[in-house]
Amino acid sequence: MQNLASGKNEEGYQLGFSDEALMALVTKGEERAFVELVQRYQNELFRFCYHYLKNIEMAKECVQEVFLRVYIARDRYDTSKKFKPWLFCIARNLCINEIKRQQLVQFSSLEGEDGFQIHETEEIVEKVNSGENHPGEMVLKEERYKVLWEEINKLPEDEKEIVVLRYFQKLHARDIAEIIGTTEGAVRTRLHRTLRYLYQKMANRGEFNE
Amino acid sequence: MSKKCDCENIREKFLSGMFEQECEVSKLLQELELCEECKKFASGLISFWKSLNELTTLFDESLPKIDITGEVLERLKDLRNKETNVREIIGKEIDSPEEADWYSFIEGKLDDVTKYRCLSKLSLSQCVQREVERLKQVHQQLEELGDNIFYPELDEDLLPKVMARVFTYKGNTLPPESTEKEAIALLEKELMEISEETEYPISTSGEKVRKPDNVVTSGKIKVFRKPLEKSGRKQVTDHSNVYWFPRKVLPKILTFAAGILLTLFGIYWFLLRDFSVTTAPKALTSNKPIPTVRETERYKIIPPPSFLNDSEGFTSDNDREDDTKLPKKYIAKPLSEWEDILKENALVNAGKLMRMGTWASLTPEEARELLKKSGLSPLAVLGAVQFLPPEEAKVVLEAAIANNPEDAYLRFAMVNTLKNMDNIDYEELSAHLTAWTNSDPSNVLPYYMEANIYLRNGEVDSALACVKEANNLQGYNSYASLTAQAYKEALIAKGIDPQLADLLASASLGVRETQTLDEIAHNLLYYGKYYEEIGDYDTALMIYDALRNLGVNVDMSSDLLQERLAGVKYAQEAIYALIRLMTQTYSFSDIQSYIAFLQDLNQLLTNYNNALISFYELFDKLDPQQIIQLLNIYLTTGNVNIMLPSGQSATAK
Repeated sequence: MQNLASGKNEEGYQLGFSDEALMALVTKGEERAFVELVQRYQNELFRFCYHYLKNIEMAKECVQEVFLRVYIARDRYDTSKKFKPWLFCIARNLCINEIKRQQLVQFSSLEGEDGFQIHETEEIVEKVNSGENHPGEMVLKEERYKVLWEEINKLPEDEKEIVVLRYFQKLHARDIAEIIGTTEGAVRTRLHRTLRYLYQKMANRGEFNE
Repeated sequence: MSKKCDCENIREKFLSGMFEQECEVSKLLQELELCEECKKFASGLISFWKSLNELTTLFDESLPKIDITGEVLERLKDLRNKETNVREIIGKEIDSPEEADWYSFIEGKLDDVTKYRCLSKLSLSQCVQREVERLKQVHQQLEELGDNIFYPELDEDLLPKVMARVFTYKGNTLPPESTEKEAIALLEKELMEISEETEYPISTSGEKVRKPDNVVTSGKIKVFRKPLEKSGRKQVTDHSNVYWFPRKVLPKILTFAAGILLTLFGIYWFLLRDFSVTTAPKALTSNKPIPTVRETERYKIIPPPSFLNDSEGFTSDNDREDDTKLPKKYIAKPLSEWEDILKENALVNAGKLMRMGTWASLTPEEARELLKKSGLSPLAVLGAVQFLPPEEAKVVLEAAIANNPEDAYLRFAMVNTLKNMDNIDYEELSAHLTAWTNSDPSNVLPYYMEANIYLRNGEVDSALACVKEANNLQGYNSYASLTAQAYKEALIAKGIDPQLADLLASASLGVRETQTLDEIAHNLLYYGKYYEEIGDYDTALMIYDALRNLGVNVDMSSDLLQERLAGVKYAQEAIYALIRLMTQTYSFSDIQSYIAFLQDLNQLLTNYNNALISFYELFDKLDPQQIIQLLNIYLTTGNVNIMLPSGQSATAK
């Protein structure tokens, strides 16, 4: 038995059951499994929603709604498929609907209402500085991150979404494909082209030396 | 003399100048010194040129004018647009295997065949090598950026809100000011409804467990006895570390287990409802000793066996103690006369046979009279002592212990006697407990009895210390057979027909022992629930674990069916409490092994109940002599397996 007082074991909430097994239990009416899933994904889902909505309270609200939708749709869940893409697909649809409802422009900028970009940049600088790199290298890295960040913000919406899902949400191409409704190959192709595009942009700004 | 005219050269220059630049013709005529013939040639040529120009002008004016420039430009524009469209379509829709492969190569996630193909291309083209290196750099920087990116932290646990929405969706309205605790309480309620097949009063009652008045929550841990060396333990399967449970089968088995539990608990509750360990623990909230079963009202509602309910007998244990007007004359009839009544009563309600042992006992006065007799066997003395008041029993036992200080049973009897006294001498009790454990080192019972005494006094830390020691042992002995035989000897010495004494003694087998266990289990459950409710989950866990160990030990070590049933029940209650605890704390790590363990316990329950049913069915099938023979065996061994049909065993371990 792990630390019952905190409600977690040594691995956080990563216990023996897979997401799919837990979801199968949820379909059988086992709500403890649902609790486990909420605990497992609420943070990740919050970040995901935040990327779209760029507002903390809205993201929280969306996370709650996503889990309610999951519970409502539990009988329709196909346990032979992966749970995470299904969950994030629901979240994405909800976020997009919310954006449309509020007539926001999705991914118009990653700079959010809560000063996302400013904090992010400072945070990145802080983290880079805390490393063991040479001061000169750190400055270069910092500058390169800023340029890269700017160029990502200039990407078309579709490409930006894929980059965010792949590099910031750390999702696999297969999962991204399921979330946005395309093939894994198409996602990889688009990522490859985006890398080329970003390289060109970065090179034009003198960030890469041949 | 006129300048000599170079006619041929002049005429060539004139022609080329006229065709190349018209303005040069007049210049040429002035500059060149032409001969007459050349002048004629020039004037004729100029005249022809002018005519030609006039003719050209005439043509220009007479022909229709055509301008296709705009059309050409338009078509060029269309072509450019189509090319753009095609490029856009390609850019959006194409799923280029090659590009996808290169991205996989950059990611490092590629199957061997594709990887080989990419590496081959790389080896052939420096241009491709350069591009891949560039893209790898961008990929690496994006990864770093993703690793270092700052996200706003989720500053609250959304679970309560999510669950509140779920409950609202399901129609369970939650108060607007619902808090996390309320949400969890509702969740627990839901969960308990799912597992309502269990009769589990403490957890399902919804009542708060009050803090026992006499709980001592701090201070040094006191241990009566010196710690014992671990030795001679039986190996018990530890189910807590078994993780065999297949995930996909879990839902099916849960459903199946729920069905089995519903059935078994129906039977079990009917048969053993007198042994409930979860009755409201009044004694725990006061300093009074926990009442024994005899003091409770359990048996008041149950009529005594009809064959004892005559004018000469007493009607119940309470009546016997309270109503001294009834004659103290025991029935001494041959067993054959009781045969039909016995069979009838035993089969009407299986529990009656077990209760017979409680009713058929001696009064203290009878016990005293018996002890005055000379020539009593030691067992008869011990049997009579069981019915003496504690103060008097203590004197008899002290004398017996003085002669046999190493006798574990005497120590057990003394501890039982001392703990029931009004003023408990704990030092004396400690000495006998130590002597007892020294005589019977693998027995967990003294540890649990000591823990129970501490719990009755509210000294939880000391009780937990005892429980911890007991957790290291694997053995249980309540000396039930010895107690029953002593009881039988006392009955015979009193003058009861030996066959009836056999019957009564066998019927009493395990009853008192189970009552002791019930009290211990009851207290452990109560304190476990108390610590659970105040949020001290670690202590609650330890207590529930102790109860589980007690149940397992009793089941593994006892030959008595009644004790085994009780042990299984304690283990079950402990497991349910542990599962409830995990639910409260969202810790599901051991739930699989617990469910597996529950399945084993359910199987045991089935087997034990079958054995019990077979035991009672014998009264329909056997003649009285056979019954007596079997009861003798039962009295000696306590094992009812001998009565089961061939190949069926109650011991499913």
